[in-house]
Amino acid sequence: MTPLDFHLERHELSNGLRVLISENRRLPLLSLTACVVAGAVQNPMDRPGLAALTARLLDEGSAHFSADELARKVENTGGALSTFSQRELSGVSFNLASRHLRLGLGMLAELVRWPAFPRKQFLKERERLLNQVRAAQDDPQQVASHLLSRSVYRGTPLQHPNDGTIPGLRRASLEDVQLFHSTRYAPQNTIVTVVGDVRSRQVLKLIEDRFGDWRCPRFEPPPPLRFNRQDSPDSRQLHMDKEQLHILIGHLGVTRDDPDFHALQLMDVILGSGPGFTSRVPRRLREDQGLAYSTYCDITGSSGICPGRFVAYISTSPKNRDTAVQGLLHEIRKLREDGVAEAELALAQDFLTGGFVFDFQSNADLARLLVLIELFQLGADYPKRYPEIIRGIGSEDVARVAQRHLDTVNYSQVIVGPIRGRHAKN
Amino acid sequence: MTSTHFTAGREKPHSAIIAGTQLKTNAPRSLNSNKPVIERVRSHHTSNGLTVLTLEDHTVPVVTSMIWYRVGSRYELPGATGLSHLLEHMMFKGSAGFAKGEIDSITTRHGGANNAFTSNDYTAYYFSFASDRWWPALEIEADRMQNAVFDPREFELERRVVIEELKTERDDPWGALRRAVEHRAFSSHPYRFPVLGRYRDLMRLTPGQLLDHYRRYYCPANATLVVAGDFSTPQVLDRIQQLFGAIASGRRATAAAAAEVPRGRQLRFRVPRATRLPRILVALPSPPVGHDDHYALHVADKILAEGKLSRLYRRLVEKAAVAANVAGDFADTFDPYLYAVSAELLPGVSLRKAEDLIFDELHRMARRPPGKAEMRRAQNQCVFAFLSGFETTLDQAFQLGLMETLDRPGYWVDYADRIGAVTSGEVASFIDRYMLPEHATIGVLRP
Repeated sequence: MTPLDFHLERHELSNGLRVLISENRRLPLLSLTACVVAGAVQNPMDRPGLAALTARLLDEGSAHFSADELARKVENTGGALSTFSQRELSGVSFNLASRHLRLGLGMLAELVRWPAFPRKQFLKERERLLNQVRAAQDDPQQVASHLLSRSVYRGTPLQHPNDGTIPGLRRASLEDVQLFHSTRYAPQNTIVTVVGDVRSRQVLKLIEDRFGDWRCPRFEPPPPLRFNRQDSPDSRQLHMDKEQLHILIGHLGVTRDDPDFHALQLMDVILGSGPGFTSRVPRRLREDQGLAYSTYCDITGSSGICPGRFVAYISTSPKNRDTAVQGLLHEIRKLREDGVAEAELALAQDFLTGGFVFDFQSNADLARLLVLIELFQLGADYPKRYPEIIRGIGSEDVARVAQRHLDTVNYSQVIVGPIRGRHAKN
Repeated sequence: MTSTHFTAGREKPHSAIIAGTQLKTNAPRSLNSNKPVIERVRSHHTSNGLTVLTLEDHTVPVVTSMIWYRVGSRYELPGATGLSHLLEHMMFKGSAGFAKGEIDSITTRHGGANNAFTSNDYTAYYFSFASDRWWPALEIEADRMQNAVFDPREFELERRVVIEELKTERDDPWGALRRAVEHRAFSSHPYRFPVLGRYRDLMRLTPGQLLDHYRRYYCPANATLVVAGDFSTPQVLDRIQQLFGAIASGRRATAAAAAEVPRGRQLRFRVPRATRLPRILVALPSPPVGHDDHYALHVADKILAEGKLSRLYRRLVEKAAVAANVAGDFADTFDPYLYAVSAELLPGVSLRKAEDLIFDELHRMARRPPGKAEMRRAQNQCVFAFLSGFETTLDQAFQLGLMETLDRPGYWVDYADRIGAVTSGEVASFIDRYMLPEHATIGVLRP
C-alpha cells in the first residue's frame, strides 16, 4: 500500500450507517472510529458545551456494562480509546492491536448506541469539564481565540467555546444530555471507519452484527444555520497578568466545499502556513524582524461543514504591539492588492503536491482522510486527483480568492495579555 | 500535559514527535509482532566515526532522515545556559552551501517537512520527503555539520525569537511550574537548567560562544544519522560516506557535571503566577535509561497514571473527587531525572490534601504489589505504545535515534521481553525506593 493509491471500501447499511474500510498491513495495528455528525454547532444557544459533555459520558457506563467494566475491556487490550467532540463531529476513536478487532467494534457500538448516562457520572464529568473551562481561562492563547470566535460567530452556537462556558454547563442537565444523544446520535448520521491490519469482508460482517439493527426514531436533521460575515470592524482586548500579548486578526472563513478551497490552500501556503518560515508572514515577522516565536495565517485549516475562521496570529512582547499588528495587516493587504508572483505560486504548488503523500502514513491519519472524503463527497480518487487540481490553479485565481475571502476593513482584532501593569511596556 | 515539555524546538513540535516522546512501553507477547520492523534496523559506522542507522521500508514512498547530536542542557555550564537550543535555531540561518532560508525553500519545493528539537540530552534535526526527491536532506546535514555560518545580525534576531519562546513557556501555568520544580530538584547537575536557557544568560550569549559550542559538539563522532523509509541501503551508505567521510571526526561529548540523583528534601514551594485553579506538581527521582529499574518505571507509570483504571486517577478523580485530572510524566534520559505527578484540582480543594492523597496511594502501592491483571494490563499498554511508536518513518527515526544517542543501541530489540519480565514485586520495590515523600520536590500554583 502506498498513501497515494490506498484502498477504500465504502458500504452503506440499510439503516443508513456509512462504513469506510481501508486495509493497511504494515503493522498489526488498527484504528477504529465512530464519527457522529453532531458537535458544538448543534448546541442550543443557552447550552454551550452540551455536545462535549455528551461525548465525555459515552464511556462512563452503558446499558450492558458499568464504567469500570468498559474501562477494563479497553485497557486490558493495551489500546487507547478516546471520546471526542469538536465543532461539527463527535464520537469515539479506538487505536488498538488488530487482534482485538472484534472487541474494538463491540466497544464502538456499545458506546455510541447504548450509553447509560448514570447520574453520578454525569455530575462528575460536568465538574471535570467545568474545570477544563477554568483551566483554559489561564491560557492567554485560548482566551484570545475564544474572544475572536465570540466576535466572528456572533449569534450562533459557535460564539462559545466547544467545551462550553461555566454558566452554560451549570445549566446543562442530565435530561439535556439524553435528549442530545437520542436526537443526534443516529445511524444515518454516523460514519464508522476501520483502518489497519484487517480483512474488509470480516469487518463488514462484524459491523452488520453490531450496528445493523440500530434505529433512531427520534433523529431530527438539524436546521441549517446561517453564518454571516461581519459588516463592521470589531476590536476587543483583555488584560491578563502575563509577559506576552496574543494578537489575533480574523473574520469568518470558508466551508470545506467552497469552490475556492484549493486556491485558498495555495494562498495559505504563500501567506502564512507553509513549512518552516517560507511563508510571507513568518518570514517577515519572525525571520526578518525577530518579533515572535509563533506567528502564522490560515483560512483553510479550520474549514468544515460550517465556515471556519480566517486567522492571522502572533504572540509577542508588548513593546512590539504596533509593529506586529501593522505587519500582519500589511501582509494581508499586500496579498489582496498585489496578488502573488508566478515563482511563489509554483513553489506552493510543489509543496502541496509533493507533501500530500505523508499526510496519510498512520492509520489515524488515513481514518481522517476517509471521513473527509465521505463528508465532502470528494471521491476515493481524491488523493490521486489532488496534484492535478492544485496544478490547475493560476496566480490570477489566487489573487481573485484573496480579494474575495480576505477582508481588511470588516475584521475583528483581539489582543490578550499585559495591557497594563508591570509587563505592559516590556 | 505531555513529556514534550522536556524538549524545545525551532517550531511547535510535530504531533508525531509528541507521540514519540510519550513512548513509554514495555510488553511481552505482542512485542513479537513488531520484531520484523526492529530486526530490519542496521547499524553502520563511517571511517570517521559517524553512526548510521538504516531501516528500509518500501511500503510507503517516503524517506525520513534525522541527525542527532549528543548536546543539550546536560552539556551546558552556569552562565551560558540555552546555548544548545539557540544553536539549533541558528542551524537554519545559513551554511557555506545553503544560504539563510534555503533549507526551508528546498523543503517547500520538494514538498517535504523539516523541524528540529532540543532536550536535556540531545539536539536533533529531521527532513521527510517523498522517496524520489529526498537526497538534499543528506547534503544539507553534511554541510551544516561543518560549515555553519553565524552572522551576528542573524544571531541577534534569533536571540529575540528565543526570548519570545521563553516568554510563551513562562506564561503557561504548567510551563512555569515545571521550570521551577526542575530548577529546585537538582543542586549541581545541569538538568536544573531550562533547555531554553535562563533569561539572563540568553541576553549575554555571544556568537563566539555559539561557534565554540558548535565546533565542539557538531562532529561525526558525536552524531547519529538515522534514515528510515523507501531507499536502498548500499546506495545511501555510499552517499553518506561521500558527504560526511571527509569531516574531521571530533570527539564524543561528555557531560558538564557528574550525575546527581535529585533529592528534593521534601521541598515545597509556591510559584507566584496568576491562576484560577490550584495545580500541583510532585517530582520524584527516576532512574536513567540504562538502569536496572528503568523497565519497572515504565510499568509503574502505567499502573499509576494511564487510563481510568490507573491508581492515581481512581483515587484523586473518582474516589476523593479532588482533581479533574492527574498525569504521570517522565523522559528517557542519560542521567537520573524526574518522575512528575501533576494534577489540576477542583476549586477550593486543599493542595496539601491532594499531596497527601498522592503519597498515600504511592505508599499503598509499595505495600501492596499490583495484582496479575493490573500487571498484565500495564504491560500490554507498554507494548501497544511501543508498537504505535513505530508507525510512521518519522516515528521510527525518532525512536531509533533517541536510544542510540542515549547509548542504548538495541534497546528496542528486547524491549518487550524486558517489560514482560518485570514482576509485581519489582514494581512495588521500585515505588518503595524512589517515590518517597522525603525525596519529593513539590511545586504548586494557588489561586
